[in-house]
Amino acid sequence: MSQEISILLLVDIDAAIDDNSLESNVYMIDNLRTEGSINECSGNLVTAVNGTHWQDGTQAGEIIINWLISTISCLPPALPRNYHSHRSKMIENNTLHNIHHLHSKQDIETVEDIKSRYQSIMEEKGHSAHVIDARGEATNTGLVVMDVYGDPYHPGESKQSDLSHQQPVITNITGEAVDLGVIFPVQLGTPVVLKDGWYWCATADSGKTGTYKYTIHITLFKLKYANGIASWEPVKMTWDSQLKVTSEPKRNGFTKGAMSFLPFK
Amino acid sequence: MQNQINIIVFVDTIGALSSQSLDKFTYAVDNSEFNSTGQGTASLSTICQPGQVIQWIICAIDLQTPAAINNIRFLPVNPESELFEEPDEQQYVNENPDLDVWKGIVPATMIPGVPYRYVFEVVIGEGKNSLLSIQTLSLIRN
Repeated sequence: MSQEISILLLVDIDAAIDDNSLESNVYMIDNLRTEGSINECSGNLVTAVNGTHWQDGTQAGEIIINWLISTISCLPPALPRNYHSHRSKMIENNTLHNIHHLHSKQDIETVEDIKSRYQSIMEEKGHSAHVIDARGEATNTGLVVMDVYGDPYHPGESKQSDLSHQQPVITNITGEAVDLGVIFPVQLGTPVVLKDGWYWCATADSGKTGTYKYTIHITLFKLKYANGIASWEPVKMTWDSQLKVTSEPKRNGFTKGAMSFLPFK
Repeated sequence: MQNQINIIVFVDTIGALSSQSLDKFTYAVDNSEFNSTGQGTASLSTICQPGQVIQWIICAIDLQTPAAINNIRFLPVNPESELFEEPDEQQYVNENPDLDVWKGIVPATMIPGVPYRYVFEVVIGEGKNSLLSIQTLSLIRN
């Protein structure tokens, strides 16, 4: 049945960065399992692109393919877009509140107690994440590095698997299917939360039947700590997938052949 | 006289699937020059003439939920006998409804002024709950 094709990529970022490869660490799922796609939820997905054509050979239906990417370990993607910044602000306000009321704590007796308590408060608030730009310079995002529960992430104390990763992004789609004009990919803006403001989509030429490879360019973000600064360092990887394009001729619904008179009873 | 009349049937697919009924979630319009009645409702009566081509097109209001015409079956027009009998149990006509173009020519044998009701079957996705139909649409010869 004609519908927009959605291809979801789930990336195990910890494993991919450890292996320096997406091999065995990416899971691709599309919404056309019943329409002929194979190897669902594996790295070897072959997406069925089922086209139709008129008798003169021209394409009869429009085909839209959307790619979405997400990581397995992250804050729930259905949360409001401003959740992370809102939560970071709450943590900051909580830290300021604790510092403000430091002197009223009953167990504070000496200056050393104050220093110790202050140190503890500053450690509890976690780290604000930086991003590394193209020149290698770190910019503070103001967003606290969090675990998947929305609490500050503490390296060495929190479980590595609890880290809420920065969402990976698709930066390009290239390869055989693009070079041969089978798909025409483009990046578009969207308000949909899961897509984080941007997503890649393509139209397809179902007149070019066959199986075609294409390459998805993906940037992952690796968390690094250096000199007390937490930063997300981009790691660029690629992954190959395939599209199987078919096309069948249109026909009359009543006769399954040529048009005729309406079948009144 | 126009050669072809298009009947566009808009379906609120989420609403129809949720309620398992097309009744309140179908909006049919046509471009007949003969003042069809029930425009924008599930009770559209399209006024036509013999020789004209009628084409049915379905549009899902939710663009990402697919809907296709599974079948269009005309009911008997004799009100004394079979008109109010239940039509045959609906079933999948084919595996790929995307291939079907639902159009046909109005025959000269059509009786003027008599509504030719038809069962409009819609398939939304797959499975036993995917087939829905309405019987309130009709053609009437001018």
